[in-house]
Amino acid sequence: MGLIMAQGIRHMAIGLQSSGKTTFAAALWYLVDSKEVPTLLSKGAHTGDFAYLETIATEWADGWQVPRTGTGQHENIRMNLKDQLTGQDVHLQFVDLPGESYERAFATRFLGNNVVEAFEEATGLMLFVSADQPRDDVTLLDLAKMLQENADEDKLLEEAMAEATFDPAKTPRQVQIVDFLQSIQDEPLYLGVERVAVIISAWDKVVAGTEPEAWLKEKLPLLNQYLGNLDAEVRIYGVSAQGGDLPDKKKGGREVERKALLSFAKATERIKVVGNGAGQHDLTHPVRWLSSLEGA
Amino acid sequence: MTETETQVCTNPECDFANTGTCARGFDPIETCPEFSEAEIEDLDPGEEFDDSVSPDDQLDGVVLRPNGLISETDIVGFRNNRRMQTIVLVGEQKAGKTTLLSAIYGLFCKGPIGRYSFVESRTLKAFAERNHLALVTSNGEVPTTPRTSRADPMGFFHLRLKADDDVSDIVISDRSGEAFEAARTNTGFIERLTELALADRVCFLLDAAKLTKLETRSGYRRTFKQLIRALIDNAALRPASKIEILTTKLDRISTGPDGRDLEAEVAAYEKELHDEFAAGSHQFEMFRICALPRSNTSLGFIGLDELIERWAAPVAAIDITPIPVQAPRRQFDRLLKVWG
Repeated sequence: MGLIMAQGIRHMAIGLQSSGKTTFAAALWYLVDSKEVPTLLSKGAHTGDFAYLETIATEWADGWQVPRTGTGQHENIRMNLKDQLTGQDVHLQFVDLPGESYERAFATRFLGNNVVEAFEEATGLMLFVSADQPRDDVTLLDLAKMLQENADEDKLLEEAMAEATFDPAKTPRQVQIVDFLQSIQDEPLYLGVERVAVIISAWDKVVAGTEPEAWLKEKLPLLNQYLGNLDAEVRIYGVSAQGGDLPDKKKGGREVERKALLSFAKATERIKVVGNGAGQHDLTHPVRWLSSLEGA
Repeated sequence: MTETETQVCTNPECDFANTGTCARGFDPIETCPEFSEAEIEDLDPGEEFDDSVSPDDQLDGVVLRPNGLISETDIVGFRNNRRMQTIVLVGEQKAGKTTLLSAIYGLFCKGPIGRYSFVESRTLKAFAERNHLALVTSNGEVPTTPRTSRADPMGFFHLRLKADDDVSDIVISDRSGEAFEAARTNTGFIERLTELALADRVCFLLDAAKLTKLETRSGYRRTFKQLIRALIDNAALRPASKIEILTTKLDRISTGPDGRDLEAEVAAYEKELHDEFAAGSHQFEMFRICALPRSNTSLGFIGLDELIERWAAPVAAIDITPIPVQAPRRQFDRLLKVWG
């Protein structure tokens, strides 16, 4: 197993818009490159094109929002890592695709070849969901509770039916994620998913003491059921890769929050990782597990 | 949405094609003398979205498996992949078929229903459409679901569920109430209800609100039974199909404004149904559900745990043991007896 992994390990990072994929990549690169705090995986040989990683890692370190991957953009992220315990070399690759690629697939069923190729030989999935997004899976009962007592129901009913339109983009996020996970394992891709690391980003927005598993069950119940019944190993991590709210470099604002984060002597101490025995700042923990290096 | 100005009725003042309402007040529309069956084909097919992928795009990518309704033509092949329970929902317009489907989807979005948790669905977009429309159109005032039009194609929803180690697949049909109304008044239309031949369970939705409303109850008491009889008398149901009566809209009968005991009225009618159909050719059961507690939210959802439990219950394995030959005439057929 170790010999095979030495050839390179490929994972896919998937998630809808603003789910934290790019920020995770930026923080991970800074983390292993700076060696400010101990991590399970360290940076290996510095060979290759790291221009994209350098760009986003610099933005991250300077306390700006990491620019999200633009529509049509397709960033192949490669990192040479070394397992500290075994000395095993890991050539980690994952593709940073814009969230729109996944959202579009829900409505159109079309997946571009750039996305398809990115999945080839991927053994693990890093599934990003954000804790900083409002719930969007309201049921009929939730709305029924909002009914005004004296409403003319029949009249409103008729009006509502006449105006009904469907917008697939407003489908609850967890439904779109489940649909995508189902679809890539079926024809024509037949992707064999062995391990899924769920990364709950913006973990600093979650009430302290909450366990990642409990959060997923409470906030994304359909996804939680799906993963629980999936024939694959699943781990759930809470990750605050950014450390808090940051301003957009072009728009400015949020100076107080930015200064607070910049006050950390080591930028890597902004990072928080929760769950599965991960070190407090160690973003490599889920990557190591996905790469089957735990216990190796 | 594709706007249409199509005139499908001979009455120039009737805008049924766009409003779904007959200018002369006929309901169902088939009873209007100015409307003919041929015109139904010209009706606005409803919401349509251009989710298709252009041929040029397909060259640069792949098309994932569909996630909309499973069509009438695809359902047979789909059912052949795995053992599954086929549920056919039967009810007149506004009986609550689409609401029930939306509620099931909505509840799984909140967590398991009873013992059953969500494993997979081939029709998530179709489910999302039903629920999304309900939410968008409500605007925080009245949650409702769009009525399925007779011109809409019939299709099936799919769910794969799991309880303990048992995994079950169910498909649930969705056809407009208008089609069933038409079949009730003209049994020639019954053969078009192709889903009935596949049904393990045929669920008739009994609208408790309509049953107890003074203006509608007389007609509804008669027509509801008439539809069941029409399907049974015309052999539309397989002998093995189970009949379920699902009494819906219980929130509407939990409070009686004029002192009438509405629940007792419903119970009396349910007893009539039992007396008439329980001894018939099909297994017959009755249940009460509330999938949209609109008038009395304290009721909450009723009967949905049990409904999923019934629908997803593992199907007993088919006994393929050969039936013993009685008084065998061939020596070969006597071998087991000789050896035994």
